[in-house]
Amino acid sequence: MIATELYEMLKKVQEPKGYFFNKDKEWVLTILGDLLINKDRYGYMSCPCRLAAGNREKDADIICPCQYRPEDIKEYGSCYCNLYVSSQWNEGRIERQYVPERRPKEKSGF
Amino acid sequence: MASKIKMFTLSTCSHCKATKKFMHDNGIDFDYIDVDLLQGDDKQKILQEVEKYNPQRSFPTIIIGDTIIIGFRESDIREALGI
Repeated sequence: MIATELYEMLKKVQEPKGYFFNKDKEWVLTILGDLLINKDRYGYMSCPCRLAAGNREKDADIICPCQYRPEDIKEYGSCYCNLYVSSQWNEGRIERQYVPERRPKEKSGF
Repeated sequence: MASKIKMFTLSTCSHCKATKKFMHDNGIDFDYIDVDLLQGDDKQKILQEVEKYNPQRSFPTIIIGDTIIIGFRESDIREALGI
């Protein structure tokens, strides 16, 4: 699979749930390409913005879409990677802040 | 102007890539280590070092002189660099 195919596939599934891709498509395709690199490396699409342990159980909370996405989008309008965002974020109707790491330190299994 | 710049990054991380690009675009010299590309003891050794600067061990962790910046926070980076 290539990033543009993944883009179309995920867009269909995620947008109806209210999770939109960042309108910076170049940014999005780069991240999707990195997700595919991680799929090759680890066998699953671990968040490319975080260091994976390489063990599916340990990385379960950071397999994209990560467990922290709903809270991050609620609070900041964007996930940690700026991959998934709210429509308000895309339209510039909320201030764009750097999304801090929400994953608890104890969860990192590396 | 801060002295040497050191960054702990991931090869796949979008914010890390943005930070590297920012440094290149501004003509700033920097050293970096893509921690995800390390293996075994090398990786653990570097992670121990990252933990000293950033207990959460998130990326990028950027060290500019005495300043530690976690994440691609452009205004903080500019301030630390004096640009």
